[in-house]
Amino acid sequence: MSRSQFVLRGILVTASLTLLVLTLAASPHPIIVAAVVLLALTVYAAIEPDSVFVTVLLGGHVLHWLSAVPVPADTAAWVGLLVAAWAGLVLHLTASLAASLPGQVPVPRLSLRRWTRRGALVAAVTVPVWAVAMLSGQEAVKGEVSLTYAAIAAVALLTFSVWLLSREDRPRP
Amino acid sequence: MTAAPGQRLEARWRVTSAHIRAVLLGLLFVGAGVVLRRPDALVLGAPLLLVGLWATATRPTASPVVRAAIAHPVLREGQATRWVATITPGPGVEEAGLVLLPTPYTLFTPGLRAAATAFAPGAGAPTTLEIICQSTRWGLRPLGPATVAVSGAFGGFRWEPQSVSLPAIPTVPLPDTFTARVPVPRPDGLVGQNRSHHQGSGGELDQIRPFRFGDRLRRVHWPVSVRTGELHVTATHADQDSEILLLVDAMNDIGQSEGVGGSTSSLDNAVRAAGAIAEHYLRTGDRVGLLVLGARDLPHVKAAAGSNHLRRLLDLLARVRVADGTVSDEKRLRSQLRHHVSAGTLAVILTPAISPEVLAHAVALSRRGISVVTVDTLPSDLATPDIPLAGLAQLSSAADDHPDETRLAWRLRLLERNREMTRARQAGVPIVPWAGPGTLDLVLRDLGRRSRAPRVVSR
Repeated sequence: MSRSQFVLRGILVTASLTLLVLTLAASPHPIIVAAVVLLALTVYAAIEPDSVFVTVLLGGHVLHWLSAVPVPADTAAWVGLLVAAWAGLVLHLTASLAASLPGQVPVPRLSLRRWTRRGALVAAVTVPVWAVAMLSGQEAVKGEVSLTYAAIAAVALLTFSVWLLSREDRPRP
Repeated sequence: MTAAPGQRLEARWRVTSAHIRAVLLGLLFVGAGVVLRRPDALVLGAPLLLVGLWATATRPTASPVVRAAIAHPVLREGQATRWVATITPGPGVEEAGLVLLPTPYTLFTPGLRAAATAFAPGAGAPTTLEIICQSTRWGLRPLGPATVAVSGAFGGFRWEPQSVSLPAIPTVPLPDTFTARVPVPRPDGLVGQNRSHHQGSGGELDQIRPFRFGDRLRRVHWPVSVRTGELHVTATHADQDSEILLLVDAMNDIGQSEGVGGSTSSLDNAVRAAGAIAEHYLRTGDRVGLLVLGARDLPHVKAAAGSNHLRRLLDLLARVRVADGTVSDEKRLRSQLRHHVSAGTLAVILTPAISPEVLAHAVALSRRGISVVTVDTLPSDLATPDIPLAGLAQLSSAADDHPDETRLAWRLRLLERNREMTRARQAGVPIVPWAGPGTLDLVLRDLGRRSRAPRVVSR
């Protein structure tokens, strides 16, 4: 395996551990079993970044967070949430890049620059989402039921449009 | 612009597990955040959804044009070629990778048999990914199969054809250095470089004799003519070509082959020696034929001359495979041993002398009056009874479990082999170990003397 692939997988492990540590630190009642499972999955994901276990690992991290950590109440908890979101993003991107190229060859510099730039852009775009969520959370607005339904409908519409765009090419007659 | 050579690869763009992960988890957690009123789920899912949407929006719209080829159609042992994938990227294509599976007796550069590249935005020019493959042993060398993959933004879509298997590249043997200064015993052709027994136009003096009607004037030997007062001419031996038949014993392959520069097996020795002998005699204008004993699907190459024939012989030698040791192989050997041999042919049998039938065939040819030379191709380190344990493993797969029994069995086989070789020598078949230049000189000289002596042969 090339050195750059080692580094990529090292970053994957670091991001996963960061996410795990943040969850455990923010949780009043840590779920140790989940932490052990996620640790094992991290090792497997670093070895096989193209496997479905990366999806299980990332989903497990978020579920672990949602089940163990209450909705952030103070600014420090919100900052921790943002770092956790970035760690999840880094985990996903490093696994994707490691799976996109043969493990034996060094990752081309152009790819590294491109993925880093795009990752930073996505991380930056996450900040407004996080800020809006923090503001709405701190205002403790209960919200109206009609608005919730509207948001659900928007997510459903978004899902449908993503599905439409993601369909595989069909051979044209 | 001309299209790159090679086989065009076909595939479809497919969604990767990374893209499914980004879209699925992103939607799931954003949806859960909305439904469950968990803003933290929304924040955790948002970057994944963004990545998924980005990859979807910039998805590749057209298949890239990818061609796979091997740079050279034929190799010699030790020569290298390139496994080349030429990729013409379409819009949205960002990375490409190539991986070859390992092939026996092949050295790869880079050593991990993989290459990758990234395409600049808007790049449309063909880009090549190549891996250098050096074939270190004769034979048909399948390079690969290979995996070629091209991916889009964030690795969301991948274009990956099935494993690419290009036709195997024949690696012709690198002939050992070989020369023979002694002419072939019975040249019986038209024009060549071997001194025949007949008088005729040639370079080697036979005698000075009185002039006869029909002799050319330029042959008149004036000093003798003046001294004797009668015209005398110089008579020479005719220079003629001869026919050489190479018989390569492929019934057994004893020893371990490590390719060029490493240890050799008996079949390595036989094939390289056959290539060397063929090259030498074809360059001197003789006709060379080839028969591989025990090999399947290899025709008997009739004797012919010329450089094209040398290529034909080397190509056939590259396709030699050791027999499986089945009953059909024994039957095939028996049918092959009924081949026709013209009078005056020099038969060179290259064998490790493990199959008694081959030595018996050499004796039979000799009794028919054919000049026969047997070249012993058994590696010298295996021709001793006390071989180390590592050497035993080359002889039998059971050597690790039963080393003493294997060593004893090999000693018995060597004793039988020595007895068979002694009987063959007594029957007039010279047996020489392969030693490169001059291997055949001594025995050819003896055969030449013997061929001039009267004897009884059985037809």
